[in-house]
Amino acid sequence: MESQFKSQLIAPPTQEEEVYPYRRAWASILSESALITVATLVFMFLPVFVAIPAALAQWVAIAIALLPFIAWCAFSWIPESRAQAPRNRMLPVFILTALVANAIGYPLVYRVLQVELWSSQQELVNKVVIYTLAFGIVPESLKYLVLRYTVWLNQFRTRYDAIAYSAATAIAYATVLNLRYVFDSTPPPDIAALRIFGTTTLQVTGSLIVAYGLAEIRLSKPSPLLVPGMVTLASLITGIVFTLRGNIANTRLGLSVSYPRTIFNYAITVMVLGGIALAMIFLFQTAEKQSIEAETDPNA
Amino acid sequence: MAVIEILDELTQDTITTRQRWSHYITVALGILAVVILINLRANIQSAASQYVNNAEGITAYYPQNWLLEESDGTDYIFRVSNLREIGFKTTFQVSVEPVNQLTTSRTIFDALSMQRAQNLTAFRRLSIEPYTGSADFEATTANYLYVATDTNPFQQSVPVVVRGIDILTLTRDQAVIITMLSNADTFEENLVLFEQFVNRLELR
Repeated sequence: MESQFKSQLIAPPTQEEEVYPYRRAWASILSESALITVATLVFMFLPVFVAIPAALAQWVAIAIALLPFIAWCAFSWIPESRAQAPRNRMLPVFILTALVANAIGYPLVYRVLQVELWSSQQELVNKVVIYTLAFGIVPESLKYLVLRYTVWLNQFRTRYDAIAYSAATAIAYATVLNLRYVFDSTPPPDIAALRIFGTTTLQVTGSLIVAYGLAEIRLSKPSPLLVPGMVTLASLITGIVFTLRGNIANTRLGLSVSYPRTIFNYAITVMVLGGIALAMIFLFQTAEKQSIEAETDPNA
Repeated sequence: MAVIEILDELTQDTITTRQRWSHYITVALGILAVVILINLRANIQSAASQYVNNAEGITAYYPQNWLLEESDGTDYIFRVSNLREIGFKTTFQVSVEPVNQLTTSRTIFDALSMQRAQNLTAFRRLSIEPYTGSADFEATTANYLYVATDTNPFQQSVPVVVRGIDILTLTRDQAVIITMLSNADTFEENLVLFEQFVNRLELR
């Protein structure tokens, strides 16, 4: 007689939980952006409540310039080391981009071409073109080259790797521009905060747009024009925002009392950051879904 | 516990033709942007406005958006200044002095130096030498410098060292003096504009 054995487990098996081995790039970028956005608002209104001593103003401005880097370390670089499958080249990419920005990008635009000197009196359309080329295509091309020759081929395992590495280049480039700004101009902290926020935002949004092109050309089969198209689009947005901020948000000369419209400037920057971040999240998710559908589709 | 698999097949050793072309076009875009910027800068900086003075027989082309001032001729015929500059405003000036057949460039420069030494702080003449520019007239140049301070005593500004250059050409009955005054720090950059200004100056 066959004995019947019915096993009874003391601890029944639980449903297997899917573990995501990478650091979540979007969560990091959104946390960094939120921190910088709130900090900018605080520093903009700080002089209303607290008088910052002149001797401390420069140090406060330097601290604000380093804030994007500190936020990146806290939300991206340190969590990366704790991930199961870390992106190992984050720090080299950051350092290399900072060196390239300091040695090529900044001197080319601000010292050799001296764009700010001869572009300020131009017509609106000319300004957009000049700013698109100088403050858009030049930095985006340099950041692209850093990514292309360091991590693009074998470190881009998923689309989110493109976001993480591109954000690193953006923060590195922005940190160099911001430090140069506070050391060269010695601005008061509230003005510095707004300018640093604007610079960082444009670098991050530009890099996210180019990241989409880089991820697609690596993991999919788009047109060869996608990456240059994304570089152009990112640069055009930079050019338009630069011109808008200069023409609409800054102080105007006139017979009546005029004042810098800092809130307006801040609002434009927040809208650009939010709008482009949402658009890129949508684009990346759509691309990811299409990629999964293509893999599972037997007719594909 | 399941771990999302890292796809080994994504490790790619070679670049596809599509990826290669994408890279070439992006690099070309960057290079093109810099070339266009250099060209735009040259066009904008060499853009000029015309000044005509029939009484004195002078036609000049000065940098666009600079401020033009005319005088009755006692101090100068006309001068243009770059008001966009922070601090000392670079100025180009054309003036005329009556001369006779015995007057030489040296005597005019000496007279100018005496006059400036009385009016300008720490005026120093650096050199007098033949003009070697590409304008089609014979001339002599004098280089000098002085210290300029803001005339408003309540303005918190640091005095600046100003470098000047006079180009003097003698005609039958008058000496035409073309002057540039610039902050010493930006003198070399402004000298390029001044050379363009002198080359396009027509004296009848």
